[in-house]
Amino acid sequence: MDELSTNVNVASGDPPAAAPAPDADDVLMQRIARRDAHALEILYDRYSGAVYSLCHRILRDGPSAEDVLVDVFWELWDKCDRYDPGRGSAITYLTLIARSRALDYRRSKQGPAAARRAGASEVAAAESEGALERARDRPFEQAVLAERRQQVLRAVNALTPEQRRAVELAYFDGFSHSEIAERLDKPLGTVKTWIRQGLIHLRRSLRNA
Amino acid sequence: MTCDERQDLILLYAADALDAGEREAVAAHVAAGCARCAGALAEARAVMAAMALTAEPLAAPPGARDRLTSRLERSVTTTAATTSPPLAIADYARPGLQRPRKAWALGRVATALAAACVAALLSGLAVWFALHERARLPMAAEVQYVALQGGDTQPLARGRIFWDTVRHQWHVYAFDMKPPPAGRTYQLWFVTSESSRIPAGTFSVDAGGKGSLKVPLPQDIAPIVAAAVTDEPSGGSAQPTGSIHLLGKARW
Repeated sequence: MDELSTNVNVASGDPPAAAPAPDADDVLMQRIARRDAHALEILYDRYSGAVYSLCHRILRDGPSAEDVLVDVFWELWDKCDRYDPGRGSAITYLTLIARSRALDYRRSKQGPAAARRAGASEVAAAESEGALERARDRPFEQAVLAERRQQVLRAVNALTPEQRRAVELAYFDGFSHSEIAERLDKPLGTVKTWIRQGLIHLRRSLRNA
Repeated sequence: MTCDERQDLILLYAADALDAGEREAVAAHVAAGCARCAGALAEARAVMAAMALTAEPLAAPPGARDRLTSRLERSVTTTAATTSPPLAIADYARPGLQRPRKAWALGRVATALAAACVAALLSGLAVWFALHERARLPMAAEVQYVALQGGDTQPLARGRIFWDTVRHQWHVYAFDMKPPPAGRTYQLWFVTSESSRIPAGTFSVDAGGKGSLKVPLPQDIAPIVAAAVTDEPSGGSAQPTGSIHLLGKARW
Protein backbone atom coordinates (compact mmCIF):
# COMPACT_ATOMS: atom_id res chain seq x y z
CA MET A 1 0.00 0.00 0.00
CA ASP A 2 1.37 3.36 -0.93
CA GLU A 3 -0.04 5.51 1.88
CA LEU A 4 0.30 9.23 1.39
CA SER A 5 3.94 9.82 0.91
CA THR A 6 5.92 10.93 -2.06
CA ASN A 7 8.25 7.98 -1.60
CA VAL A 8 6.22 5.86 -3.92
CA ASN A 9 4.17 6.01 -7.03
CA VAL A 10 0.88 7.11 -5.60
CA ALA A 11 -1.13 6.25 -8.66
CA SER A 12 0.07 2.70 -9.05
CA GLY A 13 1.21 1.70 -5.60
CA ASP A 14 4.59 0.65 -6.91
CA PRO A 15 7.24 0.13 -4.25
CA PRO A 16 9.99 2.69 -3.77
CA ALA A 17 12.83 2.67 -6.25
CA ALA A 18 16.11 1.09 -5.19
CA ALA A 19 17.81 4.47 -4.94
CA PRO A 20 15.42 6.87 -3.23
CA ALA A 21 15.36 10.49 -4.25
CA PRO A 22 17.36 12.81 -1.98
CA ASP A 23 14.15 14.45 -0.86
CA ALA A 24 12.18 11.23 -0.35
CA ASP A 25 10.42 11.21 2.99
CA ASP A 26 12.54 8.49 4.56
CA VAL A 27 15.73 10.17 3.40
CA LEU A 28 14.54 13.42 4.91
CA MET A 29 13.88 11.64 8.20
CA GLN A 30 17.43 10.33 8.16
CA ARG A 31 18.70 13.83 7.51
CA ILE A 32 16.62 15.18 10.38
CA ALA A 33 18.23 12.59 12.63
CA ARG A 34 21.56 14.08 11.55
CA ARG A 35 20.25 17.51 12.61
CA ASP A 36 19.62 18.83 9.11
CA ALA A 37 17.07 21.61 9.53
CA HIS A 38 16.65 21.98 5.79
CA ALA A 39 15.21 18.46 5.68
CA LEU A 40 12.69 19.51 8.30
CA GLU A 41 11.86 22.50 6.14
CA ILE A 42 11.11 20.29 3.16
CA LEU A 43 8.93 17.96 5.19
CA TYR A 44 7.17 20.93 6.72
CA ASP A 45 6.39 22.44 3.34
CA ARG A 46 5.26 19.08 2.08
CA TYR A 47 2.96 18.09 4.90
CA SER A 48 2.19 21.09 7.09
CA GLY A 49 -1.06 21.62 5.21
CA ALA A 50 -2.15 18.02 5.70
CA VAL A 51 -1.17 18.05 9.37
CA TYR A 52 -2.87 21.38 9.97
CA SER A 53 -6.01 20.18 8.20
CA LEU A 54 -6.14 17.10 10.39
CA CYS A 55 -5.60 19.11 13.56
CA HIS A 56 -8.22 21.62 12.49
CA ARG A 57 -10.69 18.83 11.78
CA ILE A 58 -10.14 17.39 15.25
CA LEU A 59 -10.02 20.67 17.16
CA ARG A 60 -12.29 22.78 14.96
CA ASP A 61 -10.28 25.82 15.92
CA GLY A 62 -7.53 27.50 13.93
CA PRO A 63 -5.30 28.80 16.74
CA SER A 64 -5.45 25.47 18.57
CA ALA A 65 -4.66 23.59 15.38
CA GLU A 66 -1.71 25.90 14.79
CA ASP A 67 -0.41 25.19 18.29
CA VAL A 68 -0.51 21.48 17.65
CA LEU A 69 0.99 21.82 14.18
CA VAL A 70 4.04 23.54 15.63
CA ASP A 71 4.29 20.96 18.41
CA VAL A 72 4.09 18.08 15.95
CA PHE A 73 6.92 19.29 13.75
CA TRP A 74 8.94 20.22 16.78
CA GLU A 75 8.48 16.71 18.11
CA LEU A 76 9.53 15.35 14.74
CA TRP A 77 12.78 17.27 15.17
CA ASP A 78 13.33 16.90 18.87
CA LYS A 79 12.43 13.23 19.20
CA CYS A 80 13.36 11.98 15.77
CA ASP A 81 14.87 8.84 17.28
CA ARG A 82 11.36 7.60 17.93
CA TYR A 83 10.69 7.19 14.24
CA ASP A 84 10.99 3.60 13.08
CA PRO A 85 10.59 3.19 9.32
CA GLY A 86 9.72 -0.44 9.85
CA ARG A 87 6.50 0.60 11.55
CA GLY A 88 5.27 2.87 8.81
CA SER A 89 6.23 5.71 6.53
CA ALA A 90 7.17 9.19 7.65
CA ILE A 91 3.76 10.61 6.84
CA THR A 92 2.06 7.79 8.70
CA TYR A 93 4.22 8.60 11.70
CA LEU A 94 3.58 12.30 11.31
CA THR A 95 -0.15 11.75 11.10
CA LEU A 96 -0.14 9.49 14.12
CA ILE A 97 1.65 12.14 16.16
CA ALA A 98 -0.67 14.86 14.90
CA ARG A 99 -3.84 12.93 15.69
CA SER A 100 -2.59 11.92 19.09
CA ARG A 101 -1.45 15.42 20.05
CA ALA A 102 -4.61 17.04 18.74
CA LEU A 103 -6.79 14.66 20.74
CA ASP A 104 -4.63 15.23 23.81
CA TYR A 105 -4.93 18.96 23.29
CA ARG A 106 -8.69 18.80 23.00
CA ARG A 107 -8.95 16.69 26.10
CA SER A 108 -6.76 19.02 28.09
CA LYS A 109 -8.77 22.10 27.08
CA GLN A 110 -5.89 24.15 28.33
CA GLY A 111 -4.71 25.62 25.08
CA PRO A 112 -4.20 29.35 24.78
CA ALA A 113 -6.47 29.44 21.76
CA ALA A 114 -9.34 31.38 23.27
CA ALA A 115 -7.26 34.47 23.80
CA ARG A 116 -6.27 34.53 20.16
CA ARG A 117 -9.61 33.82 18.55
CA ALA A 118 -10.25 37.52 18.14
CA GLY A 119 -7.72 37.54 15.33
CA ALA A 120 -9.24 34.62 13.51
CA SER A 121 -10.32 36.59 10.47
CA GLU A 122 -6.81 37.90 9.89
CA VAL A 123 -5.45 34.40 10.28
CA ALA A 124 -7.97 33.07 7.78
CA ALA A 125 -6.96 35.70 5.25
CA ALA A 126 -3.29 34.90 5.74
CA GLU A 127 -4.04 31.22 5.38
CA SER A 128 -5.65 31.76 2.02
CA GLU A 129 -2.67 33.75 0.84
CA GLY A 130 -0.29 31.14 2.19
CA ALA A 131 -2.20 28.34 0.51
CA LEU A 132 -1.85 29.94 -2.87
CA GLU A 133 1.83 30.66 -2.34
CA ARG A 134 2.66 27.12 -1.29
CA ALA A 135 0.60 25.59 -4.06
CA ARG A 136 2.65 27.57 -6.52
CA ASP A 137 5.89 26.62 -4.80
CA ARG A 138 5.31 22.87 -4.93
CA PRO A 139 2.84 22.07 -7.67
CA PHE A 140 3.92 18.44 -8.09
CA GLU A 141 3.62 17.60 -4.42
CA GLN A 142 0.32 19.43 -4.18
CA ALA A 143 -0.96 17.46 -7.14
CA VAL A 144 0.18 14.16 -5.59
CA LEU A 145 -1.58 14.92 -2.33
CA ALA A 146 -4.71 16.11 -4.12
CA GLU A 147 -4.84 12.92 -6.16
CA ARG A 148 -4.29 10.83 -3.08
CA ARG A 149 -7.02 12.71 -1.27
CA GLN A 150 -9.44 11.94 -4.07
CA GLN A 151 -8.59 8.24 -3.80
CA VAL A 152 -9.20 8.24 -0.08
CA LEU A 153 -12.42 10.22 -0.43
CA ARG A 154 -13.71 7.73 -2.99
CA ALA A 155 -12.91 4.91 -0.59
CA VAL A 156 -14.56 6.65 2.35
CA ASN A 157 -17.61 7.64 0.31
CA ALA A 158 -18.08 3.99 -0.60
CA LEU A 159 -18.64 3.09 3.05
CA THR A 160 -22.14 2.85 4.38
CA PRO A 161 -23.18 5.99 6.27
CA GLU A 162 -23.04 4.05 9.53
CA GLN A 163 -19.58 2.68 8.85
CA ARG A 164 -18.29 6.10 7.87
CA ARG A 165 -19.77 7.81 10.89
CA ALA A 166 -18.35 5.23 13.25
CA VAL A 167 -14.89 5.32 11.68
CA GLU A 168 -14.84 9.12 11.73
CA LEU A 169 -15.89 9.23 15.36
CA ALA A 170 -13.10 6.82 16.19
CA TYR A 171 -10.47 8.60 14.13
CA PHE A 172 -11.26 12.30 14.41
CA ASP A 173 -12.85 12.29 17.85
CA GLY A 174 -10.87 9.54 19.49
CA PHE A 175 -13.94 7.85 20.87
CA SER A 176 -13.75 4.27 22.02
CA HIS A 177 -16.17 1.57 20.91
CA SER A 178 -18.34 2.08 23.92
CA GLU A 179 -18.37 5.88 23.61
CA ILE A 180 -19.41 5.63 19.98
CA ALA A 181 -22.14 3.14 20.86
CA GLU A 182 -23.43 5.49 23.50
CA ARG A 183 -23.25 8.50 21.23
CA LEU A 184 -25.07 6.75 18.39
CA ASP A 185 -27.37 4.89 20.75
CA LYS A 186 -26.50 1.56 19.16
CA PRO A 187 -25.41 -1.79 20.63
CA LEU A 188 -21.69 -2.11 21.22
CA GLY A 189 -21.43 -5.15 18.97
CA THR A 190 -23.05 -3.28 16.11
CA VAL A 191 -20.60 -0.42 16.42
CA LYS A 192 -17.64 -2.79 16.51
CA THR A 193 -18.87 -4.41 13.33
CA TRP A 194 -19.33 -1.07 11.59
CA ILE A 195 -15.81 0.04 12.42
CA ARG A 196 -14.22 -3.29 11.56
CA GLN A 197 -16.08 -3.59 8.26
CA GLY A 198 -15.40 0.03 7.44
CA LEU A 199 -11.68 -0.31 7.99
CA ILE A 200 -11.51 -3.56 6.06
CA HIS A 201 -13.22 -1.87 3.15
CA LEU A 202 -10.85 1.08 3.34
CA ARG A 203 -7.86 -1.21 3.43
CA ARG A 204 -9.05 -3.08 0.39
CA SER A 205 -9.87 0.09 -1.53
CA LEU A 206 -6.56 1.73 -0.76
CA ARG A 207 -4.62 -1.39 -1.66
CA ASN A 208 -6.22 -1.29 -5.07
CA ALA A 209 -5.96 2.47 -5.52
CA MET B 1 -5.98 -16.79 18.49
CA THR B 2 -4.27 -17.23 15.14
CA CYS B 3 -2.64 -14.49 13.12
CA ASP B 4 -5.47 -14.79 10.58
CA GLU B 5 -7.97 -14.09 13.32
CA ARG B 6 -5.83 -11.25 14.61
CA GLN B 7 -5.86 -9.23 11.38
CA ASP B 8 -9.18 -7.51 12.08
CA LEU B 9 -8.12 -6.76 15.61
CA ILE B 10 -5.00 -5.12 14.28
CA LEU B 11 -7.11 -2.74 12.23
CA LEU B 12 -9.05 -1.81 15.33
CA TYR B 13 -5.83 -1.54 17.31
CA ALA B 14 -4.54 1.02 14.83
CA ALA B 15 -7.81 2.92 15.26
CA ASP B 16 -7.41 2.98 19.06
CA ALA B 17 -10.77 1.26 19.20
CA LEU B 18 -9.92 -1.85 21.21
CA ASP B 19 -10.65 -2.46 24.82
CA ALA B 20 -7.65 -2.39 27.12
CA GLY B 21 -7.25 -6.16 27.32
CA GLU B 22 -7.43 -6.68 23.56
CA ARG B 23 -5.08 -3.78 22.99
CA GLU B 24 -2.46 -5.18 25.31
CA ALA B 25 -2.73 -8.60 23.72
CA VAL B 26 -2.17 -7.24 20.22
CA ALA B 27 0.71 -5.08 21.37
CA ALA B 28 2.36 -8.00 23.12
CA HIS B 29 2.01 -10.23 20.08
CA VAL B 30 3.56 -7.67 17.73
CA ALA B 31 6.29 -6.88 20.24
CA ALA B 32 7.10 -10.59 20.42
CA GLY B 33 8.30 -10.39 16.85
CA CYS B 34 5.50 -11.59 14.58
CA ALA B 35 6.56 -10.17 11.24
CA ARG B 36 3.23 -10.77 9.57
CA CYS B 37 1.25 -8.94 12.23
CA ALA B 38 3.83 -6.15 12.40
CA GLY B 39 3.38 -5.67 8.66
CA ALA B 40 -0.38 -5.74 9.04
CA LEU B 41 -0.14 -3.13 11.77
CA ALA B 42 1.99 -0.89 9.58
CA GLU B 43 -0.61 -1.17 6.86
CA ALA B 44 -3.44 -0.54 9.31
CA ARG B 45 -1.70 2.58 10.54
CA ALA B 46 -1.38 3.72 6.96
CA VAL B 47 -5.12 3.18 6.48
CA MET B 48 -5.77 5.35 9.49
CA ALA B 49 -3.28 7.93 8.28
CA ALA B 50 -5.18 8.07 5.00
CA MET B 51 -8.24 9.13 6.94
CA ALA B 52 -6.42 12.37 7.66
CA LEU B 53 -6.77 13.30 4.02
CA THR B 54 -10.53 13.34 4.28
CA ALA B 55 -10.29 16.48 6.38
CA GLU B 56 -11.01 19.63 4.46
CA PRO B 57 -7.67 20.73 3.00
CA LEU B 58 -6.33 23.89 4.58
CA ALA B 59 -3.02 25.67 4.34
CA ALA B 60 -0.92 25.95 7.45
CA PRO B 61 -0.97 29.49 8.84
CA PRO B 62 2.20 31.39 7.91
CA GLY B 63 2.79 32.19 11.57
CA ALA B 64 3.29 28.52 12.36
CA ARG B 65 6.50 28.42 10.37
CA ASP B 66 7.82 31.41 12.29
CA ARG B 67 6.99 29.80 15.62
CA LEU B 68 8.67 26.55 14.63
CA THR B 69 11.67 28.49 13.42
CA SER B 70 11.95 30.38 16.70
CA ARG B 71 11.78 27.22 18.74
CA LEU B 72 14.32 25.52 16.53
CA GLU B 73 16.62 28.49 16.58
CA ARG B 74 16.54 28.71 20.36
CA SER B 75 17.30 25.03 20.57
CA VAL B 76 20.15 25.16 18.11
CA THR B 77 21.68 28.21 19.71
CA THR B 78 21.53 26.61 23.12
CA THR B 79 22.98 23.41 21.79
CA ALA B 80 25.80 25.15 19.99
CA ALA B 81 26.63 27.27 22.99
CA THR B 82 26.78 24.35 25.36
CA THR B 83 28.28 21.69 23.12
CA SER B 84 31.08 22.65 20.83
CA PRO B 85 30.28 20.90 17.50
CA PRO B 86 27.90 23.01 15.40
CA LEU B 87 25.02 21.20 13.78
CA ALA B 88 25.20 19.94 10.24
CA ILE B 89 22.55 22.11 8.67
CA ALA B 90 22.22 21.78 4.93
CA ASP B 91 24.93 22.81 2.55
CA TYR B 92 25.28 26.37 3.70
CA ALA B 93 25.65 25.78 7.41
CA ARG B 94 29.40 25.92 7.39
CA PRO B 95 30.48 28.24 10.15
CA GLY B 96 33.58 30.32 9.94
CA LEU B 97 34.83 32.70 7.33
CA GLN B 98 38.10 32.73 5.47
CA ARG B 99 39.61 36.11 4.95
CA PRO B 100 40.39 36.88 1.30
CA ARG B 101 44.12 37.09 0.73
CA LYS B 102 43.88 39.71 -1.97
CA ALA B 103 41.49 42.36 -3.10
CA TRP B 104 40.70 44.68 -0.23
CA ALA B 105 42.47 44.83 3.01
CA LEU B 106 40.07 43.71 5.66
CA GLY B 107 40.51 44.48 9.29
CA ARG B 108 40.20 41.94 11.98
CA VAL B 109 37.03 39.93 11.65
CA ALA B 110 35.17 38.51 14.57
CA THR B 111 38.06 38.70 16.95
CA ALA B 112 35.73 40.00 19.59
CA LEU B 113 33.75 36.80 19.49
CA ALA B 114 34.59 33.58 21.20
CA ALA B 115 34.57 30.55 18.91
CA ALA B 116 31.61 28.96 20.59
CA CYS B 117 29.63 32.14 20.31
CA VAL B 118 30.38 32.37 16.60
CA ALA B 119 29.30 28.80 16.09
CA ALA B 120 26.10 29.44 17.97
CA LEU B 121 25.29 32.55 16.02
CA LEU B 122 26.01 31.03 12.67
CA SER B 123 24.19 27.83 13.43
CA GLY B 124 21.18 29.75 14.59
CA LEU B 125 21.35 31.96 11.57
CA ALA B 126 21.55 29.00 9.24
CA VAL B 127 18.47 27.49 10.81
CA TRP B 128 16.70 30.78 10.44
CA PHE B 129 17.50 30.76 6.77
CA ALA B 130 16.61 27.14 6.38
CA LEU B 131 13.10 27.70 7.61
CA HIS B 132 12.52 31.31 6.67
CA GLU B 133 13.99 33.01 3.70
CA ARG B 134 15.30 30.04 1.85
CA ALA B 135 11.74 28.79 1.38
CA ARG B 136 11.47 31.38 -1.37
CA LEU B 137 14.46 30.02 -3.24
CA PRO B 138 15.03 26.91 -5.34
CA MET B 139 16.39 23.85 -3.60
CA ALA B 140 19.99 23.07 -2.77
CA ALA B 141 21.38 22.05 -6.13
CA GLU B 142 20.51 25.39 -7.68
CA VAL B 143 21.60 27.63 -4.81
CA GLN B 144 25.10 28.62 -3.78
CA TYR B 145 25.92 30.98 -0.97
CA VAL B 146 28.35 33.50 0.39
CA ALA B 147 28.66 34.02 4.12
CA LEU B 148 29.24 37.66 5.07
CA GLN B 149 30.95 38.71 8.26
CA GLY B 150 31.16 42.13 9.84
CA GLY B 151 34.37 44.13 9.63
CA ASP B 152 36.01 46.45 12.14
CA THR B 153 33.22 48.99 11.87
CA GLN B 154 30.58 46.58 13.15
CA PRO B 155 31.99 43.15 13.99
CA LEU B 156 28.64 41.73 15.05
CA ALA B 157 27.02 42.34 11.68
CA ARG B 158 26.61 39.35 9.42
CA GLY B 159 24.77 38.21 6.36
CA ARG B 160 24.22 35.65 3.66
CA ILE B 161 24.05 35.84 -0.09
CA PHE B 162 22.23 33.04 -1.86
CA TRP B 163 22.97 32.65 -5.52
CA ASP B 164 20.00 31.40 -7.47
CA THR B 165 21.86 29.93 -10.42
CA VAL B 166 18.63 29.21 -12.26
CA ARG B 167 17.35 32.76 -12.26
CA HIS B 168 20.84 34.30 -12.13
CA GLN B 169 19.99 36.31 -9.06
CA TRP B 170 21.58 37.02 -5.74
CA HIS B 171 19.39 37.23 -2.67
CA VAL B 172 21.22 39.24 -0.05
CA TYR B 173 20.29 39.29 3.63
CA ALA B 174 22.08 41.34 6.26
CA PHE B 175 21.59 41.22 10.03
CA ASP B 176 22.50 43.17 13.11
CA MET B 177 23.73 46.11 11.10
CA LYS B 178 23.86 49.61 12.46
CA PRO B 179 22.14 52.34 10.48
CA PRO B 180 24.49 53.80 7.85
CA PRO B 181 26.03 57.19 8.61
CA ALA B 182 23.78 60.18 7.93
CA GLY B 183 23.37 60.85 4.23
CA ARG B 184 24.85 57.53 3.23
CA THR B 185 23.52 54.14 2.24
CA TYR B 186 24.82 50.59 2.16
CA GLN B 187 26.04 49.32 -1.18
CA LEU B 188 26.84 45.77 -2.26
CA TRP B 189 29.83 44.97 -4.45
CA PHE B 190 30.83 42.01 -6.53
CA VAL B 191 34.55 41.32 -6.38
CA THR B 192 35.77 39.39 -9.38
CA SER B 193 38.83 37.25 -9.94
CA GLU B 194 40.34 40.23 -11.71
CA SER B 195 39.92 42.30 -8.55
CA SER B 196 37.25 44.39 -10.20
CA ARG B 197 34.65 45.87 -7.89
CA ILE B 198 31.31 45.97 -9.57
CA PRO B 199 28.42 47.88 -7.98
CA ALA B 200 25.52 45.57 -7.24
CA GLY B 201 22.89 47.78 -5.67
CA THR B 202 22.12 49.71 -2.52
CA PHE B 203 19.94 48.81 0.42
CA SER B 204 18.82 50.13 3.78
CA VAL B 205 18.32 48.37 7.10
CA ASP B 206 15.33 48.45 9.40
CA ALA B 207 15.23 49.29 13.09
CA GLY B 208 16.22 45.70 13.86
CA GLY B 209 19.32 45.94 11.71
CA LYS B 210 17.96 43.74 8.93
CA GLY B 211 18.28 44.52 5.26
CA SER B 212 17.75 42.61 2.05
CA LEU B 213 18.38 43.00 -1.63
CA LYS B 214 17.68 41.00 -4.76
CA VAL B 215 20.29 41.48 -7.46
CA PRO B 216 20.37 40.27 -11.06
CA LEU B 217 23.76 38.77 -11.73
CA PRO B 218 25.76 40.18 -14.68
CA GLN B 219 26.55 37.50 -17.25
CA ASP B 220 29.61 39.10 -18.78
CA ILE B 221 31.96 39.53 -15.87
CA ALA B 222 34.89 37.50 -14.58
CA PRO B 223 34.15 34.91 -11.89
CA ILE B 224 33.02 36.42 -8.60
CA VAL B 225 35.34 35.55 -5.74
CA ALA B 226 33.93 37.71 -2.98
CA ALA B 227 31.23 40.16 -2.04
CA ALA B 228 31.30 43.17 0.22
CA VAL B 229 29.11 45.91 1.62
CA THR B 230 30.33 49.46 2.12
CA ASP B 231 28.65 52.70 3.06
CA GLU B 232 28.39 55.13 0.16
CA PRO B 233 26.70 58.43 -0.58
CA SER B 234 22.95 58.15 -1.15
CA GLY B 235 22.32 56.77 -4.60
CA GLY B 236 25.48 54.68 -4.54
CA SER B 237 28.94 54.98 -6.06
CA ALA B 238 30.67 53.66 -9.14
CA GLN B 239 33.61 52.50 -7.03
CA PRO B 240 33.75 51.85 -3.29
CA THR B 241 34.70 54.87 -1.22
CA GLY B 242 33.45 54.11 2.29
CA SER B 243 34.23 51.68 5.04
CA ILE B 244 33.72 47.95 4.62
CA HIS B 245 30.88 46.71 6.82
CA LEU B 246 30.43 43.18 5.51
CA LEU B 247 32.75 40.95 3.55
CA GLY B 248 32.61 37.34 2.44
CA LYS B 249 34.52 35.01 0.22
CA ALA B 250 32.62 32.99 -2.36
CA ARG B 251 32.70 29.24 -1.83
CA TRP B 252 31.74 27.98 -5.23
